Order: sequence, then C-alpha cells, then structure tokens
Amino acid sequence: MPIVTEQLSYVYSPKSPFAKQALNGVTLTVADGDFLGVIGHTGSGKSTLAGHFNALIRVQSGRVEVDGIDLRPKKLDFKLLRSTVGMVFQYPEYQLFDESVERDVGFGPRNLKIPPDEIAERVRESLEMVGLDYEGVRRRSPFELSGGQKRRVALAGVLAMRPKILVLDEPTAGLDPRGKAEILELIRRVKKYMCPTVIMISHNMDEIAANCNKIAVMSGGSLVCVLPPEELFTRGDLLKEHGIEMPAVTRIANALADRGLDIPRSLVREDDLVAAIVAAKRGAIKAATPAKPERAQKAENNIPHTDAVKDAAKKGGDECVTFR
Amino acid sequence: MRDVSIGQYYQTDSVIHRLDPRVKLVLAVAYIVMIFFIVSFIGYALGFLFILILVLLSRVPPLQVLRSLRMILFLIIFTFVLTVLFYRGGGDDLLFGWQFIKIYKTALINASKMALRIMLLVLGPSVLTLTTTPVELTDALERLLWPLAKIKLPVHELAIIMSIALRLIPTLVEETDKIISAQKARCAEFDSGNIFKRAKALLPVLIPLFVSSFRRADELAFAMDSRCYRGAVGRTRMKVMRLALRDLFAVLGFCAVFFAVLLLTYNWFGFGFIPLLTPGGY
Ligand SMILES: Nc1ncnc2c1ncn2[C@@H]1O[C@H](COP(=O)(O)OP(=O)(O)O)[C@@H](O)[C@H]1O
Ligand SMILES: [Mg+2]
Repeated sequence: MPIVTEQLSYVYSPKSPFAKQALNGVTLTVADGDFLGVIGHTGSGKSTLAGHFNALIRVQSGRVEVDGIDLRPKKLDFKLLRSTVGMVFQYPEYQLFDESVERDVGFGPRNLKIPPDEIAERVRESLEMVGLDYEGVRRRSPFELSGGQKRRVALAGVLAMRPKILVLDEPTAGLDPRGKAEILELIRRVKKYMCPTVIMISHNMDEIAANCNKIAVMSGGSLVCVLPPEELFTRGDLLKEHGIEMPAVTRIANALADRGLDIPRSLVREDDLVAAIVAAKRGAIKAATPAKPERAQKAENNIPHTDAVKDAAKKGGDECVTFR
Repeated sequence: MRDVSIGQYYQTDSVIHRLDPRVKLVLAVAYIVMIFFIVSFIGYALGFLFILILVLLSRVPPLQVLRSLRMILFLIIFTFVLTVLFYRGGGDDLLFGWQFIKIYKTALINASKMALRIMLLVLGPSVLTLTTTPVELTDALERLLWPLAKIKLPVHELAIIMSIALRLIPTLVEETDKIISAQKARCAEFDSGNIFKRAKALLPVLIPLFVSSFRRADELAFAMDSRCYRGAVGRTRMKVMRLALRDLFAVLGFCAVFFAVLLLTYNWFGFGFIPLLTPGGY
C-alpha cells in the first residue's frame, strides 16, 4: 500500500488575510503498481497534494502514509522518504545547476551519501533509462542541451535515487508534440523497469487516458472521484460538471457510434479503438455475406479508413481535432 | 506571501490610501525631520497620538502596524541597555550602583527617549508603506525628482528599474521556493553543517535562480521592445496623479502637528503652561 491519505486538508498562510484553502478533506489510496493520473483545473490543489507525498508540504490536518511511513511527525527520515518518492516538478529543467550532466544527475545520490562508484553506476543507469547517450552527454554542461534533453537530465536526476514511487507534475508541459511523446514513452519505460508506481499530474486527457489505470479528479481542493479512464470518460455528467475534455480516441469512438458503427463508447486507447473498428467492420461484412468467408478475409486486409482513423487519433492527441 | 506585491502593503480603502502618493512621500520625509525636533516626553506623546490617528484613519489593523516594530525590537532593547549602562555623564542622580554598573536617572530618561524616537521613526514610514503600493511610491519619486531630469539625471530610467525590480521580487521569491523544493526533493539539505557547508548548499539554488533571472530579463526586454518602449521621451501616464482637496487637508493637518511640536520644543510665545505639562523639564 504505498500511499494513503485520509481527510487531508491544507491551508496556505493560515490565520492571515491571504489564507487559502488548497486541500479539503482528500481521502485517496494509491496501490502498488498503479499509474494514477491526477486532473483538475489550475489551482485545484493537484500540486499541493503531490507535495505532501514526500513531505515537501507538511501535513496540517488529516493523515498521510507513504510506503508504511506516517508523515505526520515533525521529525522524519527525509532522506529515506525522498529517495522512496521521486518528485519531478513542473519544468524540472530549471533546477539544473551543476557543471556537468554527470554531476547534476549525481546530486541526489551524493546527498544520500552513496559511495562514488555506485553513484557512477546509478548515473549511467538513469541517463540510459531516459534515453540519453551516457558517454555523449556525461561531460557536457546541462545548460547547453536542448529543452527536451534538459528535461530528461532533470528526470534522470530524480531516477538516480532509485525511487519506488514516481510523482510527475505536468511532465509534458511546454514541450513540442514529439518531445511530449518521447517523455511519455520514457515514463512508461521507467514504470516498467524501475519504479512500479507512478502518479502523473496532467492537463492532457490523451496522455492520461493512454497511460493511467486510475484517474483522480480534483476540483477546488477536493477530490471528486477516482475512476478508471473507461468509466470516467463515459460519465457525461462528471465531464460536464468539471469541464473535463474527452480524449481524442473516446471522441472518435463516440462519433463513430453516433453514426451507427457498432463499437463501445468507452474506448480510451488507440489500439482498442482500431481493434474495435476492425471487429465492427468484420461483423458488418460477415452479417452481409455470411456464405463467403474468403471474401471477408480479403476485406479485413484492406479495411478502408482504418489508417486514416488512426492518423486522426494521433493528430487529435496534439492538435485537438474535434470529431463531432 | 503570494498575493502581496511586496513589502507590507495592506489593501483596503481609506482616506490615507487615497492620498496622493507624492504628498504622502513628502510628508513622510517632513515627519522624519519633525521627530528630530521632539525633545520632551509630551512631544513624544503627541507623536504617538499623531500616528494613532493616522492608523485609525487608514483602517489598517493596529497589530499589522506594530509588526514593523517587532523586527526592530532587538535594536530598541540593545540601544536602551547600552545607553543606560555606558552613560558616564556622572551627576548626582545615581539610582543604582553595583561594582562598575551605575545607573543614573538621566541615563534612563535619555535611553527611553531614544527608544521612543526609534519607534516613531519606524512607525511613520510603516504607515506610508502599508498604505501605498511600491509602484505608487516609485511613480511618486519619479515625479518628485522630475526637475533633476533637466540636468540630465536619468530619473525615468532609475524609476523604471526600480519598478521592474519591485515587480520581479515576488516572482523571484516564488521561483526560489520552487527551486528549493526541487532540490529538497533530491535530498539537498540547507540547514545543517557549518557555515561553509551551508553556503555551498545554496549553490544548487542560486545558480538556477540566476539563470532564470537572466532569461526573464531577456524576455522582459524583448516584450518591452516589441511594444515600442523608448524610454522617457514622449511617454504619457496611464494613471495621472492629481492633487485633491484631501491632499490639502493632509498637508494642513500635518503642519498643525509640526507646529505643535515646535511650540513644545521652543516654548514659543512664552506659553507658561507648557513647562507645567512637562514636569521636571523632561
Ligand atoms: N505557496 C503558496 N502560497 C499561497 N497559496 C498557494 C501557494 N501555492 C499554491 N497556492 C494556492 O493554493 C491553491 C492550489 O494550488 P496548487 O496546488 O498549486 O494547484 P494546481 O497544482 O492544481 O494548479 C491555488 O489556489 C494556489 O493559488
Ligand atoms: Mg500545479
């Protein structure tokens, strides 16, 4: 049970004219192996919630437990906690400071007082994990890298502490479509090979739908619900009330279903959509010509529009092409 | 701290807030001069009464005003103790003597007056900064120093530098917060070890902060350029400052107080009753 919060509330600058209730009784459980997406409007308390997970923001009222550690006491083993929960902030590239990529990535492990040869190994491991060429970048200054590369170095800096839980605050903000895709790809890789539990804050529903198995919806400091994507994106009432956009895939599925194609409306992943369209087409063809299986076989091989739909789904991800 | 622009401006609507910032600035300077004319306790009482009235008029919670004193409390106590202990005027008014510690009545009185003076010196400008935004203040300063531009002093440039700096302070504070959090998340420690270690521990915060400040400065320069900023020449103002009747009343009111202070100090017109009000001539 890595993360449990119970009735967690937080007020910024309490007892002052600027007091601001940022969290309001949030009760949430994140299980091992979860890929939790956190969505909600700006100012809904997503970052404040995430800050609690490695005690950068201290518990004011309520309870937080992370990997068996109660975060309420004033004195904590911060090093243990912060190496367990890796936190990647928004625009993490702005935290780079050291003279070389290697030293910057090694900052976390050095603070953990890990022996130098192990640090070197971790640095190599995490730079390779984020898809950078270790020998090629290790001696370069982090400031001379491109934006996308900087962000990966910053990510490697967190991974070098070998966290079990990775928290990412809008990891793809401000990147071009390709940079976004690359970062998401490497997040999936990290989840698979390194830290099994990932929490990702994002405003991009396509990213969320394609990767997460659970989605937490925040609004005005409260947790509205935690639902699997297939369920959330079919709940028209929730989407409407909280101004949540549908992922492109779900929009396409809905558009096709509206026009009479027999596919479920709850599709959230590109592959599922393609499979559903194929199945629906096959079903339609079979229904029309039940006696000639070899023709159906042939038809399946050149189903019209599948590629176009797939393309559109991809495009929709980045440019929000609406199919209504 | 996020919603405050800087310093301690207290947002509300009051006569004092609405006064012309130029008038407030000039009066604040005159007020400081006035403090140095006060010599007797009754004069100080008058000073505090004046501040009290200002605070009430400004609708700033009195506790907020007293907060400015909290910061210099140490200074006040320190000067008080030193003045009392090291008074070597001699005299026959020894109150307490033990070995080398001698406390004279004159020393106590002098030290108290000094403490009162420091308090008044801090309280007055606090009322100014509590009721006037830094931007208003820089604007006022620019307008007041305008004549100096005639002798080629870059008044406008100085003012714009100041307002940009003021504008960027909260942004930088926020940025610093973020960077500190990010480095803490990588287990950086800022409050352990000796002074050298601590100074070194700040590097991971300072370097990104500098980098982002340069970036910001660059972006701002670009944004100003693209909106055709050309310096002071031919520039008009969005908020034109105009003197109003209340400004006249403010000036008159202040003059009355200043006059009263001078009256008490110099005993003009031979007001016989004033020495009676200050028993023993303090
Ligand atoms: N350091 C801070 N001081 C005061 N208020 C803050 C601070 N950080 C965030 N807030 C306020 O708390 C609320 C929640 O902020 P945040 O958790 O950053 O939201 P989100 O990440 O969902 O955009 C916002 O209204 C924000 O203005
Ligand atoms: Mg945020």
